[in-house]
Amino acid sequence: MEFVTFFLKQHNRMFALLGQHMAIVALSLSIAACIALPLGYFLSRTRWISVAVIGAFSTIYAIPSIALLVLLVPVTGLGMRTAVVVISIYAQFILLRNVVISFQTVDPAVLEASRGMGLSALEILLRIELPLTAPSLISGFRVATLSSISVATIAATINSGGIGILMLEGVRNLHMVKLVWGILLASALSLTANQLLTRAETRFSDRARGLDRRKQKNVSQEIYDASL
Amino acid sequence: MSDVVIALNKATKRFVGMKQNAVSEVTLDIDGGSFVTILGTSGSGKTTLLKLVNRIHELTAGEILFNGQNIHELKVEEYRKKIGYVIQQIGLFPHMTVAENIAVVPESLKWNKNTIEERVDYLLELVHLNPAYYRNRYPAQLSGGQQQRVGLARAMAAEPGIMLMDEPFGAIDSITRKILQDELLAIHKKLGKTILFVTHDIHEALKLGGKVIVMDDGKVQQYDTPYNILFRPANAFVSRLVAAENTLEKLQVLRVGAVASPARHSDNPNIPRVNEAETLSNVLAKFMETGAPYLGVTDDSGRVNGEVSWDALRSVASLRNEGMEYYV
Ligand SMILES: Nc1ncnc2c1ncn2[C@@H]1O[C@H](COP(=O)(O)OP(=O)(O)OP(=O)(O)O)[C@@H](O)[C@H]1O
Ligand SMILES: [Mg+2]
Repeated sequence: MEFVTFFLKQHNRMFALLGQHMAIVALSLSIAACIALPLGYFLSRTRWISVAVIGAFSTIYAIPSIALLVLLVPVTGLGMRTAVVVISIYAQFILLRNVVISFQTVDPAVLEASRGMGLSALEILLRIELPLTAPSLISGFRVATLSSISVATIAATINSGGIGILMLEGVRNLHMVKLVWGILLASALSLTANQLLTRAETRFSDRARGLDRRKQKNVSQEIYDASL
Repeated sequence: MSDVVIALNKATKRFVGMKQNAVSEVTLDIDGGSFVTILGTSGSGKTTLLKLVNRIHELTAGEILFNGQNIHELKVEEYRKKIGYVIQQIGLFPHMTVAENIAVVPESLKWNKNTIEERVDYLLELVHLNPAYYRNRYPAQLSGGQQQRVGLARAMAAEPGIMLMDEPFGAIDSITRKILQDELLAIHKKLGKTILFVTHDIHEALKLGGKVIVMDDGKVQQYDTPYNILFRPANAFVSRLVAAENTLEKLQVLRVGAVASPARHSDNPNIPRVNEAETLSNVLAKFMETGAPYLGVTDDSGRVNGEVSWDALRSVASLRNEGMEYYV
């Protein structure tokens, strides 16, 4: 009962915090992806450098997020900005590694054929590599998203806003209902994001493997059966 | 069409950090419309030589001319579109249907849609895949042999004058391989494309090639007709290579043209006939079936333009491999 009354009274603020949380995550992920995609693509071509750069990022990743947040406060101040910087760095590591590995696992025969037939690097990227790496890229993006949602919760400690604020207040004031609502919202956000991205991953994975049957209206059922 | 389309002039490739040349001072001419096979053991530089031609590898020294132009001075992507490329691993794009795979280069060249559709159907029929059934299938829904047919069709999509093929049938079962070899010969005959075909199967090299490049150690050991490779090996290496071929195997790869003589009995309408492109093993079969002392040799229009005698056929079996002395 208490849960419902709390919600009825506080829902405006709760949704505002949820929105803030999503904004922090979205902004951080966009920044990270804008760097990771091109950088990862180029790093994937040269194995040595990619190992070095990924090594450097994994060192940063080893630092607990709370420590990194506090460490950056003197530089970027309290609040959302620091949160975005830290979350971008964490997401960057996950994404970069994932982008490099995704591009490196494209079948070399497919790349050799596309190069041999005279496609430009851009054509190969857009028509061949991106469709083939999409499932793996989305999978990495999903992991980065979940990680960012959770780090964004912790970032409440440096006053970044977001759902973490509900939890912090709940703990500080021993306000059980508030705390549980915070946990519920954060979990719901994570689960929804996970669900959506998993679905996208499956869709793109079917396409990449040639299991997308929408173009096959003319292909008879026997042919499916024979091929499976 | 027998102009030289590809001329290699001391073409040399040494990979970074290697002590030896992978391809060493190769000088040879490929005539337009010819079917040339490249034969050699593993590591002899066959693939490297092929990849020098379409600039997947760049030369360390020497030059390669394409219709008289130095390929180094051509725009690499435009140049490659004039050359079909087929590899053993096929490398079909798994996310595209058969038709989409074949259409990639024509689309990149901005052909109009209808032209592309027609071209796809034409090519699928050429490689004996019914367009109605196969157009919209994905590579994962095809057998290995069917995939390589699509690979071949895709390589021919933008009407290249030259086809580079690197052990295209290497991973295909022997029955299907034989069928594909015969189909490729038929396609070559029909379209007159220049084909450079790498294989380490001596039988395949001699059967398909109008001329054979034998490679070892990055160098060309002999560049000659199958007949001369078999009976006039240029050195000990070639001699050893062909020594294992027995008479029947030789008959299976040599063609009527190698032993035919001018027609003397062409007035006789009753003599059995064979097409000039038949293998000598089929000629042998015909002799055995008919008991005739000679056969009329016809061109594709059915006109008699020569003849083969039983004695001429037998001479193949008794011909001494003149290279044998090299390793006695
Ligand atoms: N990318 C490369 N980098 C370094 N060395 C290479 C490279 N490609 C080939 N080589 C070397 O060049 C030599 C010739 O190789 P190549 O692939 O041309 O042989 P091949 O005749 O095609 O053999 P196979 O029948 O096994 O395919 C080999 O010694 C090989 O190790
Ligand atoms: Mg090879």
